[in-house]
Amino acid sequence: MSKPVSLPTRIARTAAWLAGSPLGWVTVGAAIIACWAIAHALGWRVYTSAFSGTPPAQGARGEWLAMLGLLYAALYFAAVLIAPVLILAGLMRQAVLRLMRSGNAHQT
Amino acid sequence: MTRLAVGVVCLTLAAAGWLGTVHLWFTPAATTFHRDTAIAPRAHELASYQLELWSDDQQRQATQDQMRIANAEWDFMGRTFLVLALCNMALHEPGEQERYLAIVDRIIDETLAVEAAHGQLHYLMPYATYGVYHNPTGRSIFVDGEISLMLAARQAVSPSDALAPKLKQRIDAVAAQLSAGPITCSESYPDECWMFCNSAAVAAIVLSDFADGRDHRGLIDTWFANVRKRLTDPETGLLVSSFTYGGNHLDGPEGTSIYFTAHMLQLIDPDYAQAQYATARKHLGDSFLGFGYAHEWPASWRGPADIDSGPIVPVLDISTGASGMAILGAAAFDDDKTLAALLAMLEFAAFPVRDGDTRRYAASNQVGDAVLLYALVQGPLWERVLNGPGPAQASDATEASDE
Repeated sequence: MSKPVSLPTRIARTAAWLAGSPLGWVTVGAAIIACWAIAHALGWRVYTSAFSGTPPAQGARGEWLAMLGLLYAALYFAAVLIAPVLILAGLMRQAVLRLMRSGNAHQT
Repeated sequence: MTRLAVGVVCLTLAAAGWLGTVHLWFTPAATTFHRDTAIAPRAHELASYQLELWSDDQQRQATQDQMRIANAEWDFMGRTFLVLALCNMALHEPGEQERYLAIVDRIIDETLAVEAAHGQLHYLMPYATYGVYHNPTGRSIFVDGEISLMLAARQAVSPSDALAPKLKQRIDAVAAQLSAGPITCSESYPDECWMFCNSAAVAAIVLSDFADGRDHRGLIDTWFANVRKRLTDPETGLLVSSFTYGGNHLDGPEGTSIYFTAHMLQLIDPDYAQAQYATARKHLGDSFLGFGYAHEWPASWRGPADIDSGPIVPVLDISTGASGMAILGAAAFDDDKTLAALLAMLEFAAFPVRDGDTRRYAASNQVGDAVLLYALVQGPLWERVLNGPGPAQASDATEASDE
């Protein structure tokens, strides 16, 4: 019977996989795009009016909505600038490692 | 070790490949936004949104109220830029002139009615009451100048008998304010003069002279000479953005001001205006990953961001307000390369919202969208004035030839 793995260990292993493996990069890239898509579907795009100095609404509600707008913008920029890089790099790295493995197998 | 090295190489290649080309996904074909002899499709979409606002009082009120939370000036300036845009559109599309001018007249009537009911303060920020205007009229050149600009643009397209006396009266007020100033400039706020407002006021005089045949050349020449002599930033050669009634510089050259000012100066001295634009682009224009933007201040002058700057994006020091005005500058001075880079940034970072045949930008507001619309359709009105003769001179010439 194998020893149960603690939650912190699982989190650490998952984080290491996401950060270090080619498919981990692809997964992180896809997750960023998925988060942005959810924010988009929730209609947060309109709250980015804060970028022009125009609050989406008056008072505390306006501040809250402006925060959602900033979060939307952060997810959008990550989805456009960071996620594609992670996905492309992950796929390239996976392909290169596979080629290297098949090269090694031929040699042996 | 090999796995790590492969990872680093792949990440570097992917980043270089993607980030080096991402702007191409957002760079629109120039003709979809801006055409010299017609209204481009996306400009039409922007116009449709603005016209929709003026056909739905409730929606327009909500939009204006939203802007007024931050700045009452934007409510007013949104009207000015929309009127200027519609006047140009009326010249682009003579068949639609009646429709566009009907909206222009409505905007002007409503703007004057609000001013009559609530006074100039309605369109000003509260600090307008914190001091006393040095100008003997006690009026703001910001309000009088832009109302004159709206009226004069309308009259330059197609004179209306009903608006002629209102324009004359307003221009007389503007000319009186300018003439009374120690350097032929007047205040927008107590002891606070803005180049933006003064250049708009003088452009209104030029348009008005074109429309009604009066002649303020002496005043305009004096103003222009004073501006060049007293209000030029020694570091950059650009005109400063704000100054006291006596002519002491308050702020240096500012992105939200200089592009508009250069455009207004095209009516007075096109070569000087072109030089101001080129200098502004040199000191304020920038790009990152192929996306164009503008700084609020040149490197030689670090001023605070004011309400019109919009939030300043740190690290790159991007001013959203200045970047919007830079689009007007690039379009007005036929700087296609800069315009394409700025439009790429607009499409990338201003969050376009399309709804039916309308277009607006979520990160902008009504005045920002109106500035953009004006940038994309401007041209015919200035050309008409620069090439003359105006309606008054043309009718004089017709009468003379009849005799």
